[in-house]
Amino acid sequence: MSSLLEVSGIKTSFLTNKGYLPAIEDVSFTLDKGEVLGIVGESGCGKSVTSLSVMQLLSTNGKIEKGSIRFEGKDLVNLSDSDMRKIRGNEIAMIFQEPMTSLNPVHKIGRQISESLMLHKGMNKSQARAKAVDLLKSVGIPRAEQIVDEYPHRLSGGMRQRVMIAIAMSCDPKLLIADEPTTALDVTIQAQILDLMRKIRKEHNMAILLITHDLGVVAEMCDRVVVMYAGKVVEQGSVKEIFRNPSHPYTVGLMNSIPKLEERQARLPSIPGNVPSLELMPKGCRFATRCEFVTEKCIQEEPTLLPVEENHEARCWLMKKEEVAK
Amino acid sequence: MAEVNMQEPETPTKLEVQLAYEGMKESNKFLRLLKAYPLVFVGGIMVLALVIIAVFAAKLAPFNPDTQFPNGLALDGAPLPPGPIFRMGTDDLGRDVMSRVIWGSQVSLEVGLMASLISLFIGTPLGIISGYYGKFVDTVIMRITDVFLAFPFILFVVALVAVLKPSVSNVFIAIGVLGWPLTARIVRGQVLAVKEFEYVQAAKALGAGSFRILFRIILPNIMAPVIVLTTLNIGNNMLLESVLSFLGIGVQPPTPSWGSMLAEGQAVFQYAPWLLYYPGFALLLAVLGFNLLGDGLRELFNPRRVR
Amino acid sequence: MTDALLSVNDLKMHFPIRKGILRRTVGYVRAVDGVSFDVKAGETFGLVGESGCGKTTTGRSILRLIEPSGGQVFFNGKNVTKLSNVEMRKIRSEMQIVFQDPYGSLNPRYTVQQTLEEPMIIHNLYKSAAERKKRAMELLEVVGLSTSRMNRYPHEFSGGQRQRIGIARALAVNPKLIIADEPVSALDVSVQSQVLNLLDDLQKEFHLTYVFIAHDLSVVKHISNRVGVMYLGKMVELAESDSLYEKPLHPYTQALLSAVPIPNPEAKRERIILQGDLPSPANPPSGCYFHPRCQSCMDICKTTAPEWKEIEPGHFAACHLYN
Repeated sequence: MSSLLEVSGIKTSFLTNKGYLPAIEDVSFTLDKGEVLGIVGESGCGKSVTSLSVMQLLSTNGKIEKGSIRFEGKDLVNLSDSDMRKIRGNEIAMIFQEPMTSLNPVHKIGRQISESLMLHKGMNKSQARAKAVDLLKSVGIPRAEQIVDEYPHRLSGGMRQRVMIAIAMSCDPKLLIADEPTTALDVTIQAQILDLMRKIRKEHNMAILLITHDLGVVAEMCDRVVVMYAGKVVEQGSVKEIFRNPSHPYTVGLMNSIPKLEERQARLPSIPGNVPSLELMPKGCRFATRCEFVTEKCIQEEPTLLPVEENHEARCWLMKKEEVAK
Repeated sequence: MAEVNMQEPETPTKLEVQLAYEGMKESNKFLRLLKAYPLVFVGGIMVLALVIIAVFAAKLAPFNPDTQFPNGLALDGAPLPPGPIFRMGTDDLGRDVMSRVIWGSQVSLEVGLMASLISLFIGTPLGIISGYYGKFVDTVIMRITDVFLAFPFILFVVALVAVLKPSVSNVFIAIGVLGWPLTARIVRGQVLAVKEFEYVQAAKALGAGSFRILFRIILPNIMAPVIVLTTLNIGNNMLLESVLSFLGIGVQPPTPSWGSMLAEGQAVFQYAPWLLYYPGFALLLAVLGFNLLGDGLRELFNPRRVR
Repeated sequence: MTDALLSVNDLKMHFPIRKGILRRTVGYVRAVDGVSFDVKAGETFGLVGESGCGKTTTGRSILRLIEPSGGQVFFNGKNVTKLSNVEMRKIRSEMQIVFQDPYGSLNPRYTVQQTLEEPMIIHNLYKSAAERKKRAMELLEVVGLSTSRMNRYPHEFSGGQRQRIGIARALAVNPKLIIADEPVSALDVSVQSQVLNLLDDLQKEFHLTYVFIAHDLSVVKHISNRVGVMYLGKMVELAESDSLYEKPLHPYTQALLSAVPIPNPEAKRERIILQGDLPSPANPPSGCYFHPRCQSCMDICKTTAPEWKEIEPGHFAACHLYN
């Protein structure tokens, strides 16, 4: 069966004073229909650049230099602007972290939802408005008939994120890209939004690409996970396998450094040092400068993604058993 | 499983050592800056040229600007066009236009600079106080600026100069006194933004007094926009000076000023257009220079600039 | 008083809402509405709650960075709210604050050295520049930063490193109490754990007392001895950290704990999803502020505010369920 989204070997670079510097390199993953894939990593790991590359929404100083992004077999990288616009918002929708700034403050909620309905679905004004009310109800907004005529500033952060989801759902997309959708929200509101996303996914059999830094959110929402570090995929696999058997030292360190609610730890394990900067990437493994298992080979040569178990791979020389034995 | 637990996570890594090394070979920093901010350099060179001309006017001007040369007029009494002796021609009194343009730069620069400094020195403290203390003080100062900003400029200067007698210093006092509200408002806005930063709160938590917070912490952080504003003001004020001199209420003859030269040249423009071209062009270049420099500085100070 | 280093008694912070040309006061935002708690010397007291619950305002009014509109704060037996400006400035060297934003909390125009020496200059701690420099270097070592970068500006450091500089600045005046206002919430998890460990080490080394304000329950649990939960300007529950997390009494605390996503895909648990949003502190609900969102709401909750009671030894809550 072919996947809904197939990203293979993309490299996206940004123009800086020192020329084009790659923000992500050799990023590949697939996403099946109705599946939730999490991309997790810390700031600067390239998770947002990955999602923007899929949406073809890179700022003007960024470009995809290599690789292909196939959505239902179409390569999005080579698509014309006007063809891409037909896909964006219609077949692939996106929600962002900041519900405060992603709604236009000068337009009523209803109009912002109707816009894409009229654009992509050819509805007239009154049809679009009726659909907008339905959508608001479906994302759990009380008094939808009145809220439709309100301006965004009248709503709380959680409500705005619901409106963003309503807009994203308006054209019944096959894929929803959610870039840190709950990071700006309080925990109780986050729980509401995650619940809503789960419900919508089930009802519409929609695939979700969830970008987040929160391993807790990943554990609750995703079927599969891609862990990114310094612009590269360092580990990927099913959620259960990754959490049961994290294999890349970075993933292990990341999981250990979260304080746990259920148990009391005297001291938190932590990963020493900082993420290397774009212009000074180590030539070998990018995690080598912070890794406790570092060997000469790690400094000299960058590992490829090596299999750990079935459907679970990690970019680490430790995965090659004979290397460890040596 | 692996407990990644190392003390002293901040020991310089290979990476940091490499970074420090990179920092050392920044010998071509000047060239990089030039490439990144060409406006600062173009504007800066124009301004520098103006300053040199004004300072060395006595050396650079070929003649005394006030001398009415008998050979400076044609036989029918008309001004001379640019020629080998009077390279920018002469005016209707037989004075050398080039010398007058060169000397005129002194007046322009003096008025531009002094008026801007007056605005700066009145406007900055008032703006800081207004923004930092807020409430009643803020309301009073802001209403005063409203009144000043609502005043018709020409009317005010006419009144002021009528009382004080027209002279170079009174012109810059008038312009400066009228210009401070704008500075005060911009400073106030900056203070309002900066005082919300936590480092201001941190200083307060450390026990710093108001004076220290205002002048050691807030002031240095708002200097960048203030410098940009002052630079742009200099250009503007030079234009205002020429407007006043053109109207005859500014710098008085025989002191050469670009504005008054334009006024005098206007009458004979039909047959002696160079009387307008040269001072007009000088004014254009001078104001352009300050504006380019101001815009360039704005870019240079922008914290979000690509480094 | 008891052995409390800090004692907050019925602290109130009401911000006036002004309207019209005359700026008449038409109401108040009750950001903090009668909060009381004691912090013992050497312990870490955690304050948790969602945005708008008043935890940050509480922290800042303890230090009088904003003037509280009511209540008292006792520090070391002295009533801080009654101190004159001069006395207050002196006592500031004993109570310090670490901020959330590692970008906004350091003066961008000061080098690390200047940032660290400023508090020493304000409090006249050392006579010569050389002594100040020596102390600044010591401080950097204490927080685990290399002294070779003392003349760099904040923008040359990463978020975690800046947070270390902020901590070093707070330590410069040898404080007894540090109010840490969301000190790790802007940091990535791997860096967050470094900073939490650092705070832990410093507490042991310098016998510090912390008031640790955060919205992240797992972080607060990890670092605190006792925790207070705030909702809409009021304290709703206060207990030893372990007993609060094992046996939360207040329905709000229960919901809050169950909402935290657990990084284990195989963990199964009951989840309480609260309905609706936080009400506005300018117009709080009648009775118990939490009743419109509460699953165990009774009639009395709608009319009468619950009493603050010790339900089990050392475990306080304000809820009618336990009457």
